[in-house]
Amino acid sequence: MHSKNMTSTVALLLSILTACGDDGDEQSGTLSVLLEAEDTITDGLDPGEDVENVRDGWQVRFDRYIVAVGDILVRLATDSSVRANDSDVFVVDLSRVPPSGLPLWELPGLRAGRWDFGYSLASAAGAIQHESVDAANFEAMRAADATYLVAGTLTQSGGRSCPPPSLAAPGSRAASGTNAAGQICYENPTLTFEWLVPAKASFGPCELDGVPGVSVTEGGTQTVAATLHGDHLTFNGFPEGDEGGVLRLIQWLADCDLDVDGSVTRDELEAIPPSALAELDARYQLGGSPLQPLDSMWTYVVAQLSTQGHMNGEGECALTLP
Amino acid sequence: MTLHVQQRLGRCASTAGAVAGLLVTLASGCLDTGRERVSLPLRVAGVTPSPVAGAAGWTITLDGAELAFGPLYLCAGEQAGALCDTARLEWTGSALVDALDPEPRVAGALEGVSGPVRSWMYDLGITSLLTQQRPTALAAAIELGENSVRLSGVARRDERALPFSLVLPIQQDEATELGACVVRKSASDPFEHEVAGDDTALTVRFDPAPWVREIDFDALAEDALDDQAQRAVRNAIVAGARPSFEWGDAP
Repeated sequence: MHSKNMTSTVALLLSILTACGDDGDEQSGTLSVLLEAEDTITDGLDPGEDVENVRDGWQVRFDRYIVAVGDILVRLATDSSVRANDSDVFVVDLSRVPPSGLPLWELPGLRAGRWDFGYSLASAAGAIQHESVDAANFEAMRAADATYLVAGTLTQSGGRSCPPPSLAAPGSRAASGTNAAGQICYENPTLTFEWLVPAKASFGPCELDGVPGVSVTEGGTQTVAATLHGDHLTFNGFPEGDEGGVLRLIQWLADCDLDVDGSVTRDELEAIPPSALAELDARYQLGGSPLQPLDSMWTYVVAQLSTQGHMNGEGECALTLP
Repeated sequence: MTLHVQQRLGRCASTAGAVAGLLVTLASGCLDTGRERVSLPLRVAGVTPSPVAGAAGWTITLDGAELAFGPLYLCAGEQAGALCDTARLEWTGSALVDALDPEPRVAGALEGVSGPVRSWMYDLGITSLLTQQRPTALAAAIELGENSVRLSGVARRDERALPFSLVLPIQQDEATELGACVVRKSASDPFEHEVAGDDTALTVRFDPAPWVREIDFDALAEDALDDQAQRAVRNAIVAGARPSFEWGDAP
């Protein structure tokens, strides 16, 4: 054995034994976990030509964006057997979350160091009702075993719905031209939707700009945010990583109003296979869907809502489905 | 608030044991990373052809189903894509898959290191890199005229027989996700394997039946645009039933 190796090994042994002796005196810190709502939920999405805009002319506003979220889990980055958990799940209306976020969870007594961070979207059954959610909506979600209750409106002056001809039931509605695929369209400038959606998912470990998790300091309180996005229904795919390159489009949802009554229901979405929608053309790349097969537009909605968990704004999180 | 904190016990005892192990290792003069280099044959295959029950009562008989496949990457993490910076195993080539031939054919070699793989991603003969402005057609796609898939057959219903053929490129572009593979393991796909030096081969097997099930042959029969057919095939290939990954059995 080289003398240099022996010297460094002895030094290592001494430092480790010294650290062992400090077990009882080790300082710890606290992790405060906020729930954040992306401004696409609180402010909606506007039409336009910028990257953040909806490119096909629709304005999107959310009346309610209620989610069952929680079950925080952190693991020490250097030793994953060391972990802490706050299993509380809250049902919160993200459309009413303040810009500073809601401090809903706290994990005290964490060893100073870097911790991998994760959390879950769960069922409303067994969850805690937050003050932002009224009793009727809370009970509706519990009864449906839902993860989300999403309600909103699409508006566009001159907006139209162009439902798949083989599934359309427009009744006596007058035609208003055709789309690029030659399918008949109908005037429909305002559409509403309200869905109870089961979309359980676990997010984590999470990283931001290549840096994993969160660092807890001795004697201090560190804050981390579980950030939920609200625009994935407008994505032209399932990007893993930077969302800056996605195209935001929502005409597909307007085309799902099969009876052109101004409301898009779960039943309508379940009846439509993605291949029936002319809008889901080569601009869409669906190969990263977390659910397969994508056999209906309802599955598509569930798949997109399952991907909206992030950390500290745009931080990416690995996705696990039950 | 419900809070559970778990701390590993006996840290000092196990740490001292680790140091003892380190001493032994240094005495031997080397460190064992626990990984070995691996190179194993990658094979591609299809299935025995049979009539396909399509939409609206059509029965489809395929006489040609070719797919440009590759590159292929197998990753250690649960999720491929942006969270897989370095693949554990990779094949950067391409091969033309006859999806109507069940006999495996060697496409190339998967190169990498041993260890667990829990996700995969692949392109369909047309690959995009962040360093390039446009996707690049590899050899297999070039054989198909810079397309990813070529299908032909006959759809029958009652007395009607409708011959059809279709070619389609499936690729990322500026409007989608340049630099990402077009097909990635879903969170709902089961996939896990411990890659070892004695692994003999990996066979990726494609079944073309789901690719044609959603084609609207009524629209094609009326000479309508074949856009729906292309959407149906593209969605089925990238977001439909997955190929099977079969480990073992040397060629």
